Amino acid sequence: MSRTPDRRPPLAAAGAILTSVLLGAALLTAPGCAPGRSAREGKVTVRWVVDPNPVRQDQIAGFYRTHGRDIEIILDPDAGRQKVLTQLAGGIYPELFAIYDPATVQVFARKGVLTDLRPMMKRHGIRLEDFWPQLAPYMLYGDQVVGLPDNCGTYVVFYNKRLFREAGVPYPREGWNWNDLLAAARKLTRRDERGRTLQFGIGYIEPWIIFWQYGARMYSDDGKRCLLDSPEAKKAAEFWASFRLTERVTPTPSEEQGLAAMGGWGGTANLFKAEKIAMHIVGRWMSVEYRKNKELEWDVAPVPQTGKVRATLLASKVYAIPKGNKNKEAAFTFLKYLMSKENQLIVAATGDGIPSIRAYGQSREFLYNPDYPNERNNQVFLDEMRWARPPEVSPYISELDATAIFNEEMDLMWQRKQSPSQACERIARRINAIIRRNIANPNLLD
Amino acid sequence: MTRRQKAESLAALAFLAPNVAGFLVFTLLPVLGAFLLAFTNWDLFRPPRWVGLFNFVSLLGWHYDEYAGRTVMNDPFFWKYVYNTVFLMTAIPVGIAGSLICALLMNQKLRGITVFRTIYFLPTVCSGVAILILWKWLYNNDIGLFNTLIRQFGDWIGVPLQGPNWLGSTEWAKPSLMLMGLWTGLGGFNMILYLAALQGVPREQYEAAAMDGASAWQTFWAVTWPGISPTTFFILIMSVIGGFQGGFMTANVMTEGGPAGSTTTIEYYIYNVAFTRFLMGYASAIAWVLFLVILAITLLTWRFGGRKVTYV
Amino acid sequence: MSDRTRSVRKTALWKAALTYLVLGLGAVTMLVPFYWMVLTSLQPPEMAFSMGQIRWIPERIVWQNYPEAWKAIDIPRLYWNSIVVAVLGTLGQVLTSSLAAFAFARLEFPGRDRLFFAYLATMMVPGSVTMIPNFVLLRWLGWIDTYQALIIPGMFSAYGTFLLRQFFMGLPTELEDAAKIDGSSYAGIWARVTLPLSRPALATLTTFTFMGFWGAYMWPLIIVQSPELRTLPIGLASFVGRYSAEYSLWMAASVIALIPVLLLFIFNQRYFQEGIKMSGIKG
Repeated sequence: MSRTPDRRPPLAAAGAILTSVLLGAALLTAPGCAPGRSAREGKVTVRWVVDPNPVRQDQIAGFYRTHGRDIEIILDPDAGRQKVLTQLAGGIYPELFAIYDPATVQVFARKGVLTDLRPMMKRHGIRLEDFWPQLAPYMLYGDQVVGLPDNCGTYVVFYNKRLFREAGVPYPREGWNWNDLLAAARKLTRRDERGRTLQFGIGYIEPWIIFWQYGARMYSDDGKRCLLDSPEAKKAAEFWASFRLTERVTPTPSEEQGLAAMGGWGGTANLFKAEKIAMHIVGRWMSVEYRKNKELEWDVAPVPQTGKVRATLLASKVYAIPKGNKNKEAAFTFLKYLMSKENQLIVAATGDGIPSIRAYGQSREFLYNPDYPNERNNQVFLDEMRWARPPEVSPYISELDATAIFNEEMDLMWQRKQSPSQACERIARRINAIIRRNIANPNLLD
Repeated sequence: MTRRQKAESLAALAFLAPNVAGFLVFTLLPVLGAFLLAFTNWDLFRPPRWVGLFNFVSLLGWHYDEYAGRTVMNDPFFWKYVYNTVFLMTAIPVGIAGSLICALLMNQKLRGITVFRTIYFLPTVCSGVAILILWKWLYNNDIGLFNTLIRQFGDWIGVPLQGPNWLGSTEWAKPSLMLMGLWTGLGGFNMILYLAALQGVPREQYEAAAMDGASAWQTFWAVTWPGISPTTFFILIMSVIGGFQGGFMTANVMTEGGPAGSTTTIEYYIYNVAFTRFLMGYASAIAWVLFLVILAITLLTWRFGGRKVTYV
Repeated sequence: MSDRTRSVRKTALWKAALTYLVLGLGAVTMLVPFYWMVLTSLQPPEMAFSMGQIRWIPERIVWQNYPEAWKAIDIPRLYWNSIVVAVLGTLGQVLTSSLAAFAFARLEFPGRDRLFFAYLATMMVPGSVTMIPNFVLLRWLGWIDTYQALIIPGMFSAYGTFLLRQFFMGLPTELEDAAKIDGSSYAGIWARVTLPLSRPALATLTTFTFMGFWGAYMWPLIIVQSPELRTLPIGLASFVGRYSAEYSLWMAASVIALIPVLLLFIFNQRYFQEGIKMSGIKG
C-alpha cells in the first residue's frame, strides 16, 4: 500500500452506502416489489391467526366458493402466543384469532380484549343454543359470547387394529372398563430381551379422565381450593401412575415428549403413526394426522369407565375478534361462514374434530364419509359428548403456576422420588398456598 | 480542550453518528420502555398503573406463611431458575478453552484444513429446531444413540451397562444440555473469532520468540495468549451476557423446562411470565434484576479482566 | 541435511499426523447433524421417522422431496426476501459498526467509555421484554409489515461494534501514526489502514451478521403479516404442525436454505487463511 495520503473522503462513501441501504429498504416497500400485496390494495382482507393445519386451506377455499372473493382471507400462522400477544398489545389487531383453552379465553375476556359477539350473532341469526352446550366455558364470559368454535373433540381411544390382531387381543367394545384396557395394554407392550420397550400398549393418558372418573376434582366449585389431596384424587393418581411405574405400558411424559416434533406436542401421535403405540386417548382432530399414514389401520372406541362417575375430556378452540379491530363486519362474515353448514361439513369430512354445532355433528355426513369407509364408528365421538368436560380452571391462580407445579411434582413421581399420593398432597399444598396469597392480594393475579 | 482535541471529538461524532442514531432509536428506546414497565402492573391490555416497587417485592421479598408455619420466599420459582441458569453457565470456561484449542489446531498450515473448519462449523450452521429435535432422539433413554452405544460397549467388555436417562432425569438434564452446547459450540462462533484473532498476532513476535529458542508452550503464553487477549475478553463478556439470558431455545423445543423445572432458566421464566401469565410488569422486574446482576459481573470482569488484556 | 533438520522435519510430520487424527475423529461427530439433515431429506416420508430410531444408512434414496418442498412453500419468493433482508442488513451493520468501533477504539472524546458501556448494557436486557416496546415503536413509525422493519432495527447492534472495537484495539498503531504524519484524515485512516488490516474481523462479523439475519424467526414472524414478505425461516416452520412434522420435506427445504450460509462461510475462509502480511503493508 502506498503512503500517498488519500484526500478522497471515505466517510462520504460510507455515508453513500448507508443511505443506499436505507433507501433500498424503503424502496422495496413500494408495491411493485411485493407482487400480490399490491393486488390486495383497497380490498377487504381478513387476517386469520390460527395453526396452519392443511385443513385451513380447504376451509378458505370453501369460503371463496360460497361467499365469493370480495373478502380476501390471509392465513397468518400462529406459533405460540408471543406473536398474537405482541400484536394485540402493540395495537395491531388481526380480524380473527384462535384461542385453545378455556383458561386463556377467560383471561382475555377479563382483560377486555374480546368483542362481545351477541349483537352480531343476533343480526346474522347464529344461535347459541345450536352449539354443544358443553362448550360453554370456551365461549362464554359471564353472559357475553366472546368466542365461537368451529370444531371440538371428545377424548376417545384410538387403537391400532393390526397390533391388536397380532397380539391376539379382542378389539375394545362399548362398556369396557379400565382393567380391560390395562390387560390389553399389557399384551400390546413388547420388550426385547433386555427389557427395552419396543412397543407401548398405550400413550400418555390425560390424568383428568381418570381423576374425574374416580370422583376427584382439581378445584372446589368456587375455585378457592385445590382438592387434589382428597382420598379420591390419591386413589386416582395411584392408578394413573401405575400405567408407567408398575405396569410400564406407557411412556413417561418426558419420554413421550422426547419423541415429539416440537414443544412437547404430539410425541404420542408420532409413535401411534409409526405403529409403536397401540392405543392413544385423544380427540378426533388427530384423524387428520392418522389418515396420512395409509398403512395405518385404526379405529376408535369409547374411553373405559370406572362405573363411579362417567367422564372424558373435551377440547376445543374458539375464534375471537379483538375489540380494537376496525373491520368487525368482514371478520364476522368469515366467522359466520366458519359456523355455516359448508365449513362444518369440511370439519367433519377432513377429520378435524366434531362440528361445533350439534345438528352438523349429528349429521349423516359426519357419521359416515364415503372417502374413508373404514371410519365407521364416528358415533363414538358423539356418545362421549354426554359426559365430556373441559379442563378445570380456577380464577384465583394462573394456569401457568398451576401447570408448572403439577408437572414438577409429577416429574418427581415419575422418577420415583415420591409416591403418587405424596405428589397429590404436595400439589394441593403448593397450589393452595398461591391461591391464599392471591386472594389476600388480588394485585398479584393478572 | 485544545483545537486538536476538539477536532478529534468532532471526528468521533461523525464516526459514531450513524450507529448511535440507530442505536438510540431501535435499542435504547425499547430498553427504556421495558424498564419503565417494571414499575407498573401492565398486563399487556389494560392501561398500566404505577405500582412502585411492588413487582420487586413480589420477586425478591419473603413472607410468613401461616399454613406452612415458616417464612417462604414470595417467588420460590425465581431462585430455583437462577440456580439452573448459573449451573448451566459453568460450562462457559470449558467451552472457551475448547474453542481456543480447536482454533489453534485449525490455524496450522495443513492441507485440507479449510475442509475441517467448514465441517466443525456445520453444527452451528445447522443449528435450529430440527437439530434440537435430533438431539432429543439421540438422548432417548431406551433407543437413543448414546445409550445404545453405552450398552454395546458394556456387551463388549462383558458388563451390563445402562446409560443415564439423559433428558428424563432431574440429575442428568442439565449436564445433557451442557454437553450438547459444548459440542455444538466447539467449532462455532468462538472458534471463528479466535481464528480471526490469531491472524492479527504480529508474525515478528513469533520470529523473535523462535530466535530466543522458546518452546511451543512458552511461545503460546508469551506471544499468542497476550496477542489474542482482546478477543478472549470479548468472548468472555459476551458469554456472561449471553449465558444469563440463555436456555430459551432448548427449553422451548427440547424439555419445556423440565423435568421438574430442572432446565428452566431465567430467560424461559421471563418469557412465560410475560406471554403465558401476561404479567409484563413482573417480567420486566425480573429483567431488571437480571440486568443488574449481569452489569455487576461485567463491570467486575472489565475491571479485573480488562487489566490483563494487552492491546499491542 | 543435518540431523537436526531431519528431526525437526520428523516432529513436524508427527504433529501433522496427530492433528489430522484428532481433527478427523472430531469431524466425524461434527458431520452427524448435517448428515442426518441430508439423509432425512432423501428418505420417503414414512421412513423418516420411526420412534426416534434413526437409520443411519439409507435403504433407498428418493429425490422427490426436493421438488415437493419447492412446491409446498413459495421458495423463490422466500429466498428473495431472505437475501434482500440479509444482504442489506449485513451491509448496514458492518458499515455502521466499523465506523463506531473506530471511534471507540482510536479516538479520544469526552464520555467515550461511558457511552461504550451503555452500548454493552443494552445487550443485558432480555429480548422477551423489549419485544413489545420495539413493536410499538415500529408501529408508531408506520413500519409494520414492511421490508424496513425486517432490515433496519437489526443494523445497529452493540455486538458488532464491540467485536470490531476489540479487534481494532489489537491492531498495531505504527501504520496509523505514519498515515497521520502523511496528513491523512481519520476517515482516510479508517478506510486505508484500519479496514484493510481487519479483514479477518470483518469477514467474521459479516458471517455472523448474515447468519443472524438469515435465521431470524421470531421478529419476522411478528412484524410481517403479508405472505409476500415472509422470509425462509417462516416458510420452513410451516412443515412443523401442531402434532407432527413433515420431516422429509422440512429437511429438504432446510438443506436448500443452508446453501447461501455455507457458501458465504467457505468464501470467507480465505481471510482466516494467512496472517496479515505486515511486510507487504509496510512496503
